Amino acid sequence: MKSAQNFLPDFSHIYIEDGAEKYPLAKDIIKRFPKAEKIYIPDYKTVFNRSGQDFIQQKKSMNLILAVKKPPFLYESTDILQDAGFENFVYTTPLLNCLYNCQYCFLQGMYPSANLVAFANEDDFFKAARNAVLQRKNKNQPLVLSISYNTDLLASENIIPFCRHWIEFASTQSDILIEIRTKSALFNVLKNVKPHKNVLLGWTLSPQEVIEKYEWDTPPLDRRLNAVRQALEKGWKVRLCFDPVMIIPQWQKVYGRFLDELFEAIPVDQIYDAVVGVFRMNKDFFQRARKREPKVDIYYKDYELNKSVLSISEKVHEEVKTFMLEKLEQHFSLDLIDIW
Amino acid sequence: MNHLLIITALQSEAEPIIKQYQLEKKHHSEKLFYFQRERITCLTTGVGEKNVRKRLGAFLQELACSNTILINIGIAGGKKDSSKIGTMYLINKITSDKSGKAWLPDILLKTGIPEVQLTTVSKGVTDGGEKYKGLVDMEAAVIFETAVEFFPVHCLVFLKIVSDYMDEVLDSPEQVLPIMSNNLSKLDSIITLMQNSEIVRAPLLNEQHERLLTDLNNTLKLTETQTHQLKNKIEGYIAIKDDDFSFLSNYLHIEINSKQERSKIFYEICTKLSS
Ligand code: SF4
Repeated sequence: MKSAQNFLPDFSHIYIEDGAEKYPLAKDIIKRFPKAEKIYIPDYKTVFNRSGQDFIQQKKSMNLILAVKKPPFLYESTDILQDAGFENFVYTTPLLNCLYNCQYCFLQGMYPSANLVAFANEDDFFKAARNAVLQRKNKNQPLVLSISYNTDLLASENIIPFCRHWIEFASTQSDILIEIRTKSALFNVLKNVKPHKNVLLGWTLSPQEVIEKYEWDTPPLDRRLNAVRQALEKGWKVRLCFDPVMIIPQWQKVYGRFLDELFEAIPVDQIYDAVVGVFRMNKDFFQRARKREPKVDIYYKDYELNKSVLSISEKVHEEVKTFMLEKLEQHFSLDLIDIW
Repeated sequence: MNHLLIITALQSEAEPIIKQYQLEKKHHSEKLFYFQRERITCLTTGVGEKNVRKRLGAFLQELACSNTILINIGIAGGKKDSSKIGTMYLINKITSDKSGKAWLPDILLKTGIPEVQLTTVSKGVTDGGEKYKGLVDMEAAVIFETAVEFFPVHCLVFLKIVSDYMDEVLDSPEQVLPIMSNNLSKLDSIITLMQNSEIVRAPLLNEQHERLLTDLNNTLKLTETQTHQLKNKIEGYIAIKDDDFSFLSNYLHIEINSKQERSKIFYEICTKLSS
């Protein structure tokens, strides 16, 4: 967790890929960090893929890389991404890496660097999204686009206003639903943005015990709930995500109490839907993550391997499904619950 | 406390440092010597690419690099309009003039030293260096290229003191010594920062743990898979309980006479470590 003395603050250095600076988004970001050292690089991979980087140390002083994304701009759904039953599901990665540091996250082992890469050529992404809407397989359903997949986009909205731009884009389109999944309490950054039916804000909620143990550098539960309430008041579509449900000692008791308190604290009838998942991670990412941060107990549990993805045993997975379904059914109709 | 390996090109760049920290001369080989006291080591490579490759490469081959931070310090040419003679700079990008390749140190700690980029050239620059951005020197790129095989990038620190405005080659001891000496207090604060920072992470298993693991493998005649599983269990035990597992030394006195015995003991150890 962030407590290291003598480390530079985040974004003390901004690396700028050749050609990135001309984009309005890059100009806007650079303006927000007048004191940052600007270092020009031929390609973002020169710095992002350097050998010999220490992910854990970089997390204590993250830097920003501004780059220009080359195609593809959209990706098909993966085995570890929830599509909530939508058929035309794609995701995009305007930002690589995350301000937060959840120990169960695949980002712990995915990239060689902890620095953030922001792709400045937003219009290319929007164009790709427009094309994907036209070419979607099932024309009876919208294109569902997850824009906060390799990151928590709302958490960095203060420095990189991606969410605002994507919401503005989605508001002008038809047949698209963008999902912005977050743990952020920074709802205020969207206070002047008009809610739109094409945008779904998904808050990942966990018991405070789990937040403290695994969701490093994220806002506490009460602040996330505040954000959820504000979003509902403003009229946003809000999804609740219980993903991953972590198998900690007495997890049923901990999650039971957490859900009871949660449904007291928010107007649950206004929630759009709920998704539930369990810990899962690509085997190679898991091994790399364990090597990087070997002091986290997640990396010493017994998991089952299925199609290169490690996850809890089928038996415990079933227990989680049964338990969560029983709890959620008290508040949601079955078609609004997606359990993974 | 972290170990610091200070690399200079010229002996006159190293002299004030050797004196300040009372480093003693030691021999790496007949032709290669260095200076050391406690947690500071100083090696002079000689000027230019060839010397660095030969001497630094040979030296690092035999140095236990964990817990070490490498600092390259030396004089460099600067631009009149953007640098000041006698000032120390921290280098944030190194470009090799020869290959065009860029090297990027990972600057994570607050040093308070102004930052600038640098180009490593093969010949001294005396024409004002119009075409170069930032400073020029003759070794940094090859030091980085050689050292990155041994160190993580955030443990490579490049400090350059501007000695001229790329209008003369300045390398006599009479010229270099005062420039270095005037910056010793700044260097000292960086050395203190680097030595005491948490920038170098201790591995989960220390030397004692590793030794015990090796001894157990030998005594119990474990298979490769069992060795791997045991290491995994021990790491988990330390990670979760942050505890001492010296109880395992009891197994060092056991004699294993069959595969069955080995499996039984192995299972027993794993159960204890998982409990
Ligand atoms: S907030 Fe999401 S993307 Fe960020 S570290 Fe946590 S799980 Fe990963």
